[in-house]
Amino acid sequence: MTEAATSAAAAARPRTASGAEMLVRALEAQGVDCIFGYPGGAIMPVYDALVGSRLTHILTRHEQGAIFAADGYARVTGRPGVTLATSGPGATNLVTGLANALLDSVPIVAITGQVARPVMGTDAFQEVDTFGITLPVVKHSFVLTDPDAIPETIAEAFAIAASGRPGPVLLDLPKDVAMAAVARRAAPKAHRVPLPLPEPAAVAAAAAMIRDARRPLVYAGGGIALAGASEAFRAFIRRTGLPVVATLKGLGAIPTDAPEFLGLLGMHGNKAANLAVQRSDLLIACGARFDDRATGRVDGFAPGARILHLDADAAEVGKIKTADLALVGDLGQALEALRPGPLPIASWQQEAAQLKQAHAWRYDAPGEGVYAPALLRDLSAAAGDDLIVTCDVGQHQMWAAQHCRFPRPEAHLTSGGLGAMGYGIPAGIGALHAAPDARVVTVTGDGSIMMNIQELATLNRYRLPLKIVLLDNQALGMVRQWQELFFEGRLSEIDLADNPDFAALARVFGLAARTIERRDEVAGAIDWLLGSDGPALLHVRIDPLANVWPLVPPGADNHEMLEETKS
Amino acid sequence: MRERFSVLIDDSQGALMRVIGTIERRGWRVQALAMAPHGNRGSRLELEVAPAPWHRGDIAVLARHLEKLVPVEAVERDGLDAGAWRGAAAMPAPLALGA
Repeated sequence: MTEAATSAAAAARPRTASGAEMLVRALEAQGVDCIFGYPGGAIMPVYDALVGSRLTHILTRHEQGAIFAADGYARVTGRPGVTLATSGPGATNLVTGLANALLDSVPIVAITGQVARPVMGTDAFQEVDTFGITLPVVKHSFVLTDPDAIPETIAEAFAIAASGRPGPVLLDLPKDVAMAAVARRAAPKAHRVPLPLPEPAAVAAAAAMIRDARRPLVYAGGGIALAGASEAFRAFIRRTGLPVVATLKGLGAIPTDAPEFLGLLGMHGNKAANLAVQRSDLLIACGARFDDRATGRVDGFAPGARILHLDADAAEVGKIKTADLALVGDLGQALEALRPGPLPIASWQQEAAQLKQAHAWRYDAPGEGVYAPALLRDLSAAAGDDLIVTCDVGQHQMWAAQHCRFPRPEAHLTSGGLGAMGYGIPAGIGALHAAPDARVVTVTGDGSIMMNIQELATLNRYRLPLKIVLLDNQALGMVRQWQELFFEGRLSEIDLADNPDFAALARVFGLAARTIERRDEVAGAIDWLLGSDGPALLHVRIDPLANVWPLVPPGADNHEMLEETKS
Repeated sequence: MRERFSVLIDDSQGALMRVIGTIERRGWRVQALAMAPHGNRGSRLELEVAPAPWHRGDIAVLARHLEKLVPVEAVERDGLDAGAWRGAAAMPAPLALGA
């Protein structure tokens, strides 16, 4: 367009816009390219304003699918994911996704329609107190009561979602505010507020602590990726040669096949990782929050270790475990500044390497049936470095964490804190919009997949090449495992033997699908799945009695791991 | 053990609910509460809280949770910001919170 034509177009444009249009312009100004949502009455003005906008809207088939997709998008890009829903049931359907984002510190901006201001508080049709319902599960929230303040409030929401420890921010938009005429103007862009830099005196004290230790160990959490500090973390490990264990969300902070990496710690962690923690004399927690699934019995966790805690969030220091020293602020800068010099830890490194070798995973399970850990190992090897794995929740989630290879933290999307079944497929949808050229695989179970099965329709609608591996043990396997171990084998409401024919179900939704049940079919099935066009589902029948090993019983110390008994 | 402190909040929507909700959710019960205008548009909350019987009750950790809330401008006890408190398991020195 010529300059004259541009100014003519600007002159022809009305001086006022609706609140909804200003909201859409404000989203564009934040650099948003893709939003995930589901329309309904109170949010209709925004959907109207989306027509002709630069934003791509992805229509899911349930609001929970939309917010989990936004979550997956945010985890892959590091930028806030945006989700849109209507008032009432639309908003309440977002609650699980908000809680998931809060517990896993995922930046999300959720926009909900609300009934018009004059009828708020009158129990109007599809009115709920969205602001009140969501208060405990958001980092912050707004009711957009002033149509003129929409651009600034959107910018503030993005800044809050992405700054410091990220989290979900909710904006509740009354319908009359969305329809109000406001002066058209440019929207400001959000700026991420930088975290404080570490104080030199604290860094020096931390370096001295590391120098003084004989058995120092790094406990890596999801905060490393959230801080964009993966490179600084890897450089720190290269400089120091410190052995590393990781939480579920810390997997990939250094590649899981790096020599320094001992494995996942905690309830379903690798024995080498848990024993190293128990034997350490200094635990360096990097962006980790001493979650109970990682620590086991807190008083018995790393009993001989001093604690050095590096985190963006001051409230995590001393919340679970008293720290001897804390560096609160920008994790990347803190790691960059930490230069303890040569460390006298050769014998400890050797001990760690021996632990790692002694407790390496074994894949020589007897039998003809599919051995899920071996399948996941082979799948991740075949898929290569650009693989992104999204998980549901249960036994398959723990197997994926144990046996897939993660070269970077963004390669593993899992509902860690909330443990929300139904996360996997929508997160895969979000990941494919964030990284269209990546190979994205969802690992799910026969319980979890049914929690958001409707999103198979979304895969087909957009022909998203998500590859789903469904590990089917015809049961809620993790619950069954706990009933066997901790409830004297009394099985209660875990039987899913009447599942539908999953391959047939997937085909009805427009996916390619195959079912396998023998070990000798695995290699061919992986080739088929990764080579297929468009969305595809591999239905894998596995041993209904297979359990996840090892396991730290609830309330036990991490070295008291239950292991598989060979019958 | 009862703890007394004050919280300065802005006048944004839900500010009081966020403070009270965080206190309850983090294992404490509000025993006494007074609220008065503070500055141009904010409020000053004077609070007395007690931990739930099963809770480990570290007031310094609670204070840092409150400080994270967007509408909270300060959490003070004996004239000190929460970052400088020395509770049972307070932030270890040296403190690296910046300004």
